[in-house]
Amino acid sequence: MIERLQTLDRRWIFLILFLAVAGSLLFPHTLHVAVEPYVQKAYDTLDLLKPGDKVLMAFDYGPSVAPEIHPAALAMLRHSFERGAKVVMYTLWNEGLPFLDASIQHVAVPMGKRENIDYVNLGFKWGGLQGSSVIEGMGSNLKAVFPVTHEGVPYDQVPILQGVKGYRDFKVLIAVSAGSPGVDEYVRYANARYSIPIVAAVTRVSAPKEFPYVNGKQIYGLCSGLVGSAEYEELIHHPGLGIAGLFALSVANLVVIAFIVFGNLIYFWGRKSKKG
Amino acid sequence: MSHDLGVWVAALLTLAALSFLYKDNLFYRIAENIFVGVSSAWVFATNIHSDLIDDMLLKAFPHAFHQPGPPDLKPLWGGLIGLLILSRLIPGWTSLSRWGIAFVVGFQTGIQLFGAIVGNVLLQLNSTIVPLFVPRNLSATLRNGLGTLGTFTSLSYFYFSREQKGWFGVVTRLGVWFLMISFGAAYGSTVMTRMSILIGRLQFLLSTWLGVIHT
Repeated sequence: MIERLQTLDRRWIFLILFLAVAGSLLFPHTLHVAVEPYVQKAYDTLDLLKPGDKVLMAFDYGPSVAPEIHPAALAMLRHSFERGAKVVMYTLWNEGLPFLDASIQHVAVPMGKRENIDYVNLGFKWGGLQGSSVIEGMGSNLKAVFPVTHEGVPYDQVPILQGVKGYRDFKVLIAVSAGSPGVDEYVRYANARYSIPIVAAVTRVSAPKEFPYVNGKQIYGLCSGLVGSAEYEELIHHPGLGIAGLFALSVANLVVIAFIVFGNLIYFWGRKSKKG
Repeated sequence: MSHDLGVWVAALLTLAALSFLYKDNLFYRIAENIFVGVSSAWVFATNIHSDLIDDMLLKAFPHAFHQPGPPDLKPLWGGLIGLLILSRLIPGWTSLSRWGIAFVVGFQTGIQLFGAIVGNVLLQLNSTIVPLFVPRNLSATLRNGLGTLGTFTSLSYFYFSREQKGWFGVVTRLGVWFLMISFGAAYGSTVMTRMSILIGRLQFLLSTWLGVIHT
């Protein structure tokens, strides 16, 4: 019995986990969402925006982490628009473009926001693995980095970009980021040199790396992972994919914890049997 | 159930990728190769558009792209540096590539130096210097004290000029505990990230593809 459990095929674990997550999505249960202070700070920063304020928003992530931070991007974009801000969007990741487009379709268009007036999509800019030259360049001359919008409209002909030279013309930079180039680079090149306030949404796995920046007030607020996305959705009273996935995430975590406890029990039981 | 061909392709490729969890098979291999091919093509096309067309050709020859404004020939210097790097591919011309690489390295060093020193060193140092006792705020006092204790004991573990015995051994063992707890938290975060990805895929399959749930 004990030997059989010690050599249990790991595919049983995959199957149980799959069924647990699928089941919790099919039979959802609404959980109470407690908001972390870091997420509250992010919300408070965007909530200070006034009508007409300009916001810079980076979609630096791809499909591999979209379930975690795309809901946060949608929530933060919605919040910015609700405050009457004008949003300048772009991505430094090749894979970020479809999510930038999707955000416009899911948030800006239904809210009646007008392209090039209330928001603009500057598209993708390749800045190397760290994006340092592009992020640095955007501080002093945004036009040089993005001479045309994603739709090919020249910079000077875009109403929302009139009078915009660089970071100092924006109230806040929202960095939805899954790696490099991302939040770390914005902290080093945009915040350190140009002092632009940064609000970020990152994956849960990279969050511990970013907490010191929040404590150092180099990032004003931070949403991390699916939980952070759900918390931000809760704050703006607009449930989305974040809250929808929260119950499944809790069930999945409980299954993983149960397997860790089970595995340890089997290990110690086996060791005791050998000694006996 | 979706009537969109793209959704069907994405759903079947998702199932093919997940089938690897059972065992390696033909469908997984097909999905893997499609993924590598499509993502490489996407990266190549977007980079060419961003770097070569938008950054260089559009600025140097705007009228060729029906754009207003005078030509700006400065970006062509960037193209020349790129060609210098590519000269490595031509036998006998390889030394020219060093000029291009030297320019890139020097430029990047110049840009990154300021950000690294200010953003990662000075401002972080500044935020580490905190009062150990905060009047009428027990949680802040505990947090600051714990942070200071964790920083010193963790760093002491990496001090190898003294044997980790006696009182110093106690300090380093405490540091190891701090390190282990932080590694555990990082591992837990990794598990949560992976679970979130699985949830995202299942949300897609159950909602967008099959339409049995509404998100």
